[in-house]
Amino acid sequence: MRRKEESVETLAIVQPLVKVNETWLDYFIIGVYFVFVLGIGAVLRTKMQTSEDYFLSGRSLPSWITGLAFLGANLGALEIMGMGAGAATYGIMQSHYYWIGAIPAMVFVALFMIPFYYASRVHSVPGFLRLRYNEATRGFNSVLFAIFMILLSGINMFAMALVFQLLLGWSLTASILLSAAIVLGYVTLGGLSSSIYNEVLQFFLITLGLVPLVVFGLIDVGGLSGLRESISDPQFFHAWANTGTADNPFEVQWFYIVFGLGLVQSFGYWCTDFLVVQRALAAEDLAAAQRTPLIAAFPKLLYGVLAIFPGLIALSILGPKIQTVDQANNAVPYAMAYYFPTGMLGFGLTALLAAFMSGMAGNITAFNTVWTYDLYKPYINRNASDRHYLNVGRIATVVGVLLSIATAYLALSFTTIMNYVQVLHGMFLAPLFGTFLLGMFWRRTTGWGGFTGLVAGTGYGLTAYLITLDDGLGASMARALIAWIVTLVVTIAVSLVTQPKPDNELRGLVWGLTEQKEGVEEVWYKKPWVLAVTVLAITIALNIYFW
Amino acid sequence: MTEEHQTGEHQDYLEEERVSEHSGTNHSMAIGFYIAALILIYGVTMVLVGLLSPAAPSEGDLGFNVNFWWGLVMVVSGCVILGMTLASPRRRAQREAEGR
Repeated sequence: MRRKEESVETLAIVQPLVKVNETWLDYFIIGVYFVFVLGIGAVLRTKMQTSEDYFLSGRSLPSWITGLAFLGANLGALEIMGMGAGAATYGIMQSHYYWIGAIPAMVFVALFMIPFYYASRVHSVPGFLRLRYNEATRGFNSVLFAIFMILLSGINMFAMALVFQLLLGWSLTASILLSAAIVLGYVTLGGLSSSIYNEVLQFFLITLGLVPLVVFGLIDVGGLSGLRESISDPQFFHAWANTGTADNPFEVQWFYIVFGLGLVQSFGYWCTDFLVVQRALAAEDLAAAQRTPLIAAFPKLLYGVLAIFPGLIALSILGPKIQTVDQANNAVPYAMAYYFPTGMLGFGLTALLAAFMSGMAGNITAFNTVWTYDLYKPYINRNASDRHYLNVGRIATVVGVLLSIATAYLALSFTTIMNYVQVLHGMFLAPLFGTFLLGMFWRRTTGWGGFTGLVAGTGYGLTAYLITLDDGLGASMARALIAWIVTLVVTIAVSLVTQPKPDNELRGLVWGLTEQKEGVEEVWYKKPWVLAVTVLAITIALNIYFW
Repeated sequence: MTEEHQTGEHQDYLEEERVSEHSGTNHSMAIGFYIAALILIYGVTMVLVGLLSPAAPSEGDLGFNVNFWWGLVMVVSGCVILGMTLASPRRRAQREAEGR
């Protein structure tokens, strides 16, 4: 918050850093991308025969597609612009959001939770809550999740508009409307498949756009040692060394990083956020579903470098003036404009655009699925034809995009995109993770225990935020941790005094009551534990290197 | 909590909430071709821009033709993705199944 005051006067100085070069080439590059995106939607439209094709891709996709889409859905505005902004503001500590704050949870969801989700054949995360707990829990979670997705979709749209503005010099409003129209077009046509295919496409584009940025930047500043010299703040280059006290850029001790971020926030996100889980549910079989998060974990490690370094490079070439509210969000596009000539720059910015569009499309597809299966079908119209639900899903897409336009403007009022997203995650996902943990591993947990626990945890998170209005990263970590504990305590207490469900209703939903239906996988390098051990070992090595 | 009291096998429990095993719809549209095509188009464009209309150097110019060289990297990447898609065992299996 303290940085907010300086921002207004610096804004005028930093604004002309990026010159808008509007050439036929930029329009050509963006135009080709739009044609592809809408073309894929149009081709997929002919395959959308049932509502399950539209919402779950008919459980028919190979694991490399669902794996890259799993990451693609995650690599939205937050991961590229937000993490770059964070790196420019906090240094290498930002990598905690990629490594300890992602990899252990991705391994956990693959090994222990995907088997439940996939084998129970639910449509959605709220659908699982319906089976494990009760209708009330599902209803409560669906409403919250729908709101959450619309808010996140707004952030992605806002980020997309920022790029348009930089690239073509359009007004924020015109950019928001154009991006809304494109996403609306392809999600309405091809549903989840369209969204997943574009996430995979986006993954390749953003990688080809960020790799040269990091390479050129590091050559220019003289490698890691040159970067150290030019930034001349040793704290910016240690991930853990200064976390014994709160005297570090994050202003947080290691305890909150490990438990608040590494355990609660991260597990809450990767294990229960339907946005990513939905990708694994679209896989062709259980083995492919289990492999989905593990395949995503490898590029996630790489993005710890690809998203963090542009932020540091921007800080090195532009100096501390980049560390202000409005400028930090633009750290990555600035670095691109600095190193890339016309042509390459158009491509780089299109890659960013692709990332935000697929992030937003992911939010919208998760929203339309939850709306149709978990709100419309059970509460409004139970016995309609399949075609009817397919159309409801399409209408939900339109409404979702319209609502996102409104929330895009909300994103303007926070310190950085990153802070905003962490506030939301702490409130919506941390309590849910508590509910899932107990539900999956303690069979005594009752329907009403789950419901009251979830309401109490979410209520705590919301109240604590509204009282303090503190959007600092450390505050979010602490809030998430407490909300999670509140959920656990209340769920256990209420469960002990209410009637548990009979075992036969819990089969397939609770650890210990489920036959170990391991996905059959013959090839050794595709076995889940091989992938899991490898990715964890690399994570540890990276943390030691950047200690 | 009314209709689901009389459940026998767990599979029947709230069956209407579950997805069928597979929809049976074929989704094997080769995404690889789309990715390769897009990357090749961008790569070739950048190579041509690099050769024919050298851009004004950017502020952090490193002294080589970025458009040409990175365009070339993209052309190569596009070809690799195209090759992998063509050689994919999944694609071969499907073509055999179709009897071609």
